[in-house]
Amino acid sequence: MKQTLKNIITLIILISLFGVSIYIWEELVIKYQIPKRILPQPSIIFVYLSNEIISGRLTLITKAMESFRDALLGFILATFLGVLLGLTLFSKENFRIIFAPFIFITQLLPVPAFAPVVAALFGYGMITKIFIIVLFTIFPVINTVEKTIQNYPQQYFDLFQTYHASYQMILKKLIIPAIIPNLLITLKILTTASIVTSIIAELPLTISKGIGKDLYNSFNNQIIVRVWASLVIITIFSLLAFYCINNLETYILRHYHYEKS
Amino acid sequence: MKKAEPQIILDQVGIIYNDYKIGLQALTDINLTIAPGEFISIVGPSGCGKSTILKIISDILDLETTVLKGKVTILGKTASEARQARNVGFVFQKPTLLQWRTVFQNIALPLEIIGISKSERFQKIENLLKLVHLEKYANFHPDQLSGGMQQKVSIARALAYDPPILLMDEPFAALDELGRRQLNDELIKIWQKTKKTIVFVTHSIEEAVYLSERVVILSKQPAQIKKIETISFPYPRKTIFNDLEFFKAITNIRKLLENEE
Repeated sequence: MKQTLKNIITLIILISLFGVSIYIWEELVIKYQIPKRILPQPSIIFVYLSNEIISGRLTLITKAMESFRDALLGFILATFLGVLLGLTLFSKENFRIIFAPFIFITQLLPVPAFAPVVAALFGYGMITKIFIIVLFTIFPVINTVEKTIQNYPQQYFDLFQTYHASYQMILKKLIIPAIIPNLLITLKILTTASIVTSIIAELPLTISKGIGKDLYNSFNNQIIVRVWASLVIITIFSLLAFYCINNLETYILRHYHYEKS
Repeated sequence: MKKAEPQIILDQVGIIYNDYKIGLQALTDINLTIAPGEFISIVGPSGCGKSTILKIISDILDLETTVLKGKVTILGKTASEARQARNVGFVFQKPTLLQWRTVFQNIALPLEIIGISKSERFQKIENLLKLVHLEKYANFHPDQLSGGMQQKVSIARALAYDPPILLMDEPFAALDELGRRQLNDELIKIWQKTKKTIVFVTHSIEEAVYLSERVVILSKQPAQIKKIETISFPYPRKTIFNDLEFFKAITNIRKLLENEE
């Protein structure tokens, strides 16, 4: 009860702060007569978004959905492949020696600069986009999995050895459950990272359906209010994705008693 | 010796730690035979290699960093064969429970790995919970239990697959005096009921004398067996604390160990 009240108060404070910020923004733009092409008023952005919904065109939302679908696909693939590679790096020393430097290099690549190179290989479509999202987001997953297992107390592995457990059993009963808390923290960061990558990756590609491309075109055509409207939608979608993963994390940590250990 | 055929034989066993190429001789010329159903404790100065003896018997020694000399025979088999046949149960200093599993599921772990059917598993775990007096805590998670209770779960788990030998590495070291005394009594009861061979490593001379039929006293590194003291007090030993002979036995062992400091 006390916690619920605390949550409600926090929410009220957050909404109030948000409202005050919007009000200040609105008033500053009016007072200093900032041109619409530089910074539109929040009310204009709101009207633009409302018209999108009322008119039933929903172009921005549809385009955002396209980008987020790709982000989700890349996110799932990066998680799956990252866990697989992390486990392989931990268990196969030769694999680690050969491939670890290449995996590390993926972290140093600037996505927009690298996109045309990938596009030359896989074309300018969706595969390239997904590939770039995976490339950009996979490293933290690999690193989390590998380091979590490496730092897990040896006694647990010794225990499984006394049971003469197979590697599959150790994987199923110990390693996978043990990596979950740290993996969830990493995935929380990756939700927004994969959305951002999905949007940025659209710029050099020919994908026209995504919100990233729309944002880029709107900016080139000086439709700044549309740029801002896109940003609002991207923020809302990112927040929703983060909220989902955050709730999933809270549920898993509480339900399986990870939190108190 | 109460039974003729030894269950564990350590013949000229020695250990050299090769970690960081130190070449440190930890144990040397360890000769020890343990009869079936015997309760034996190992005491010695800190870091002399008491726990290493348990690791040798259970075949969980890291052979990448250590060189094992001599011969280990368990139930007529090598230590590796005995581990593969799941002849040895291990209770670690820390309870090593899986935090995401309930008490029931933790005890079920070795049975799941072995592939025991669900119904058989259920029956065995029920019996083990009764044995350690934790029937009411079956659905609790480890973080909801006291340190002593956690260690009892760990003992029940080690007994789950009914190994004839139970190795215990300072299992009650983290408990307070009263908790330790209580668990010592419970352990004696479990031992008498199950007729397991128990090899118990401890820092506490009093605990070793209270629990065991024989106490192995190790010298400092490179550790050798300095003396094996036979403790002939009858079980149960609850009234032993009023017995002068009990304190004499403790003093004798203490003197032997003090010479090693």
